[in-house]
Amino acid sequence: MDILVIEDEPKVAQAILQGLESENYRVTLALTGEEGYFLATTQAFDLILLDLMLPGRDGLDILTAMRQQSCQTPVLILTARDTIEDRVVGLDTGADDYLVKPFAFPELLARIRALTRRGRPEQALRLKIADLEMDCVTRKVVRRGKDIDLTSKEFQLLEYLLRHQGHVVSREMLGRDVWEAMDRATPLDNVIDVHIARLRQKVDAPFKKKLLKTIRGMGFVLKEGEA
Amino acid sequence: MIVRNLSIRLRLILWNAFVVLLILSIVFLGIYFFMQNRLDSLVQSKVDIGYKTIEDVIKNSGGDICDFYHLGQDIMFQVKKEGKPVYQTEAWTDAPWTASLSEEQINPYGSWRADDTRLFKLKRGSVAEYGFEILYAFDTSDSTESIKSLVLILIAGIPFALALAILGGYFLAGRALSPVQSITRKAQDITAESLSERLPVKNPHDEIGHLAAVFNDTLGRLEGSFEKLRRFTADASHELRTPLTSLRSVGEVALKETRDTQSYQEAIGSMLEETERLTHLVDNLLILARGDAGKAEFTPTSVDISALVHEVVDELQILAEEKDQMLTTRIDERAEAKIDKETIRLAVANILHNAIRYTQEGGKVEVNTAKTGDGGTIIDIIDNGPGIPESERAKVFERFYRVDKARSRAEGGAGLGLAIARWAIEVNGGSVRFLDNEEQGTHCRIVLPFA
Repeated sequence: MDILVIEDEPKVAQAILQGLESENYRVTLALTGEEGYFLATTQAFDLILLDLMLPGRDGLDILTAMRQQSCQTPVLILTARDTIEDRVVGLDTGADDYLVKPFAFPELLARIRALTRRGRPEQALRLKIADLEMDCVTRKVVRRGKDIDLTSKEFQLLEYLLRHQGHVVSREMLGRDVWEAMDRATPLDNVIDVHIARLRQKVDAPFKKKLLKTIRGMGFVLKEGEA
Repeated sequence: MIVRNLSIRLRLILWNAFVVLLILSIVFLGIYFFMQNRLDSLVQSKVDIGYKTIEDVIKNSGGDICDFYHLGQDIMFQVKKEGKPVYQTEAWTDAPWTASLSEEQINPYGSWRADDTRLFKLKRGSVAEYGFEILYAFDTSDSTESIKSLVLILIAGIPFALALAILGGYFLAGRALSPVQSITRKAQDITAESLSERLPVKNPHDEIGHLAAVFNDTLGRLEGSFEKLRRFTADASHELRTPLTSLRSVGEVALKETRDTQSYQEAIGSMLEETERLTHLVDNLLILARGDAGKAEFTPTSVDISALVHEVVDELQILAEEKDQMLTTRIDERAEAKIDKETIRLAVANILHNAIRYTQEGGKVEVNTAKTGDGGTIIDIIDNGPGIPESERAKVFERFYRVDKARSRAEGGAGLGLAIARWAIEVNGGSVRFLDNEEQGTHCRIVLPFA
């Protein structure tokens, strides 16, 4: 999968480049708006990550020009501007998604997965990792043949982790997607931590193999193998 | 208008001069007409007396013309008999009479203006028993002269009076405006650094003193705001520097010598945690900054407060459970208000989170809602924790303010939660404060208006 990253801040650009490459994406980097526009209109990419504040040529400008030339590559905007108007303008101009800096890398990955998956529905009704199984219809969770009794929040949390299995999920993602908190300022982090602790108590504690791991400073991941 | 561009002092002077001129003109006109009148009647009575004298002499003389000489030659008169002059004084002969002196001008009280502008009053009458006709003339130039000189004096006085008025106005305006000048000078010297200075108030009861007092009041508030801002900046930089310092030292220590993967992971994880803290802090500061700039996004709608409170309580319930606290609610289901849901939710969550955080394990936290008489809503958040000393109750809503600094930081707060809560509530037209709790603990009351 080819991704074009248009980002003028070299450190951020390098970090994104390395992060994406380690996830096996092929990444092309453009450090100026002009270069980005040229690459976007001459080569085929599966996704474009676009910074809005660029020297030379503004991100929105590039997006407008691209869409006018009927270039339909999905665009994910990365920006420090986070008011609702900014988002609306970005999305109206033809962006497919919007991520506010500073963003958590797991979230960027999740958004990229979501965008490149778009079009083919993938709402599996049965989720599974190792010996843990979840039936989203009967809302039953079983591990090694043993029923696990979860509260509805714990169920939602586990479902989200299962759908992102193998990938790190940040507190921000959980806050927004599971708790549906609009603002990043809500005092949710403690709440999330407690729920995770309780979920771990039910899902992992009685079993030898631990699945739910905390990645310090990043978030949580549901993953098989290694400690 | 040119007048608008002049200084107040000059305008005062001009107005003063104008008013003085007006008053002088009225007084002078009055004096002139009064004097004129007086002189006219004086002249008239002189004419009458003069005529009477002649008449008396004629009567007493029994018609003897020779007796007329006793009257002297200075009185102007002529005596006629059967239409012909029989006697006239030298004054009469010398008078600039012309043949044109007509009968009407003489009759009954006529006047005649000579070519040299002298005005003569004339009186004619007859002494029937001797068949004499008397023509008497009186030269009014004396009184005309008096009037003329009076007018001259008055006109000559106007420039002096005016000059005095201007001079007086200049000093008066100067005196009246001198406090203004001293205020201006003082105000010019007051800068952001010297906001503690105040304008001089000579007399707090006059208009300028009042103005200065009001201005001082404004300065006081400005000083307060500046002080708050200064404290805020200091606190903000402290709060920002703390995670930056940890970030830096953790990174530096990690790089100092070669370590195993796990301790690198530890170090990076710890750095990421600090980054998260910084992100939170910046997010919160942004909320407040937008609120300050009036740029926050609002969509007030009719919101079911009971549902909102239930949601928040459900969300945070788990934190109370962790501390074995009893989190109970007593909610009036009808409560409703026109507010922006997200901001109020944030406010309630922040306050409740605080209550749970600062109440000891096994404590009690209560959330109650009720309707007020005028359709508003009260949300009470009560706990039996350590409480807030009365002197600190207003301050806890200030940015970065913390009652117990060391402890709160350990609990993970940056001291912005209540500031954001207050902003969110006030911007929705409500109010929030800590009440006296009869028992131990904290009692926070949010009041939201209906409309």
